[in-house]
Amino acid sequence: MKRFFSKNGLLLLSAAATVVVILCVISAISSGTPFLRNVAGVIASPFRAAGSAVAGWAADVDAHFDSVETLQEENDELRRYVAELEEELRRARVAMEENIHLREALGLTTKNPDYTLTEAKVTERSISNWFSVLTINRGTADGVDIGQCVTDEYGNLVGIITDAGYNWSRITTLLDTDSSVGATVFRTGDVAVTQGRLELMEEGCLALCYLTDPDSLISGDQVVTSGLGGYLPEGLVIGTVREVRVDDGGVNRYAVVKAKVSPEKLVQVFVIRDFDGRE
Amino acid sequence: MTRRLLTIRWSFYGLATVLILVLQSQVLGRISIWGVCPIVLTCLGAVGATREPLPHAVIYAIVLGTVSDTLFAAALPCFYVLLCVASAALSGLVARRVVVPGFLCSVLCCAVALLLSGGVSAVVMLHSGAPAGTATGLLLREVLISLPFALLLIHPVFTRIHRITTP
Repeated sequence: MKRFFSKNGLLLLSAAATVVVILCVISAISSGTPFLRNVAGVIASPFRAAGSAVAGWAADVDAHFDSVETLQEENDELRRYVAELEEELRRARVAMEENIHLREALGLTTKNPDYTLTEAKVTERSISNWFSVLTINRGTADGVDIGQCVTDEYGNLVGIITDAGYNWSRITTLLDTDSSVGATVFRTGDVAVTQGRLELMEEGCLALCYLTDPDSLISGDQVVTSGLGGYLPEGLVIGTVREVRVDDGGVNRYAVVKAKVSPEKLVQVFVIRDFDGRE
Repeated sequence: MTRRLLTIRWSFYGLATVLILVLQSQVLGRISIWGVCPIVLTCLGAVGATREPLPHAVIYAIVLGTVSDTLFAAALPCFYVLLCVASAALSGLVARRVVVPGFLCSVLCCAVALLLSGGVSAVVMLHSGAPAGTATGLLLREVLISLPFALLLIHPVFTRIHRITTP
C-alpha cells in the first residue's frame, strides 16, 4: 500500500485536484442547489443539528449562569434597598417621636409665648445613689447657663441647671437634697418651699416645707412654682400632695409631694433660657 | 519587669478602666435594684492595688479619681480622687498584710472601697439633715448591690491583665 502510494501518489493527487476543479466549475456554472452541495448538506445535516443542539445547550447554560448572576446582583441591590428603607424607617420613627415631643413643647410655648426654650437630650443619669443629677447635651454654646430651669415637654419642672459646660450641662433635679424651690399650692394659694430629702428621694417625692396652714391641704393638691423672686417662671407643675407628716423634731409639719417628673424616665427636656419677669 | 511590659500592662488597665467607666455611665447608672444603682468606680482603684506595687496603684487611683471627678457629679470636691487613693492604699495594705491577692482579697478590698465611698456620702447627707436610718440603709444597700457587679466586672479583667503581662 505504501509502495502503491509512493509510486502513484502524485498521479492520484493530480486526479483528485482535477476532479475538485471540475466539480467547482460545474457548481459555479449550474443554477439552483448543486447536486454535490445538496448531498454534502444532507450528510452534514445531522451533524449540524447535533452541533446546534450542543451550542444551544451551552448557550442555555451560559444564559442560566448569566441570569443567576443577574439575579444575585438584583438580590444584592434589593437587599441594599431594603436596608436603606429600614434605616429610613428607623429615622422616621425617631423623628416621629421627636415630633411628638416638639408638638407638646409647642403647646408649652403657645401657652407661654414669653418662654425661650432650648430642647435637650438626657445623656447621663447620676452616678450616685445619694443625689439626683442629670446630664444633658446642651451647654453654654446653646445659651444654657447656671440657674436656668428645666422642664419636660408638658411643662412639669425637672430641676435647675447647676453646672454648665460648652456642650453639656448638669441638672440638679427637684428630688436632690440640694434642691430648694419656691412653690404655691394651686388650690389654696399657700406659698411654701419644696426641698429634696434623702428619705423621700427613692419614692420620687419631695417635702413641701414652711406651710402656713398644713391642715388645709388635701391629698392630690397640685403644687406649682410660685415664681416669686423672678428666679423661676410661675406655674410650672412640681407635683401633687400625698400626705402631711411631722418632722423628726416633732414640731414642724411638712407635706410629702409626689414629683410629677421621674428623672430616671426622662429622655428629652426643655431648658427655659428666658421668660418675662426673669431677674 | 521590663519597661515595655509595664507600659503594655498599664495600657491594658487603662483600656479596661475606660470600658468600665462607659459601662458605669451608660448601663449601670440606669439599672435600679432594690432602689439603688450599682456603683463600681472606687472598686477599680481597690482591685488594681491588690496586685500592683503601691506607688503604681496610687498613681492609677489619682488618675482614675481625677477623671471621675471631671466626668461625674459628686458629694464633695475631689470626692473621687480622695476616695480612690484611700481605697487603693487600704487595698494595698490588705493584700500585703491580711489576705493573699485573689478573689477573696478582691471581695474584701471592694467592700472596703464601697463602704468608704458610701460612708463619706452618708456623712455628708447626715450633716445636711438626713435621718441616720435612711442614710445607713442606703449605704448598706449600695454596698450589697454594687459588690457583685464590681467583682463580676473588675476582678476577672484585672486578674487576666495581670496574668498575661507577667513575664
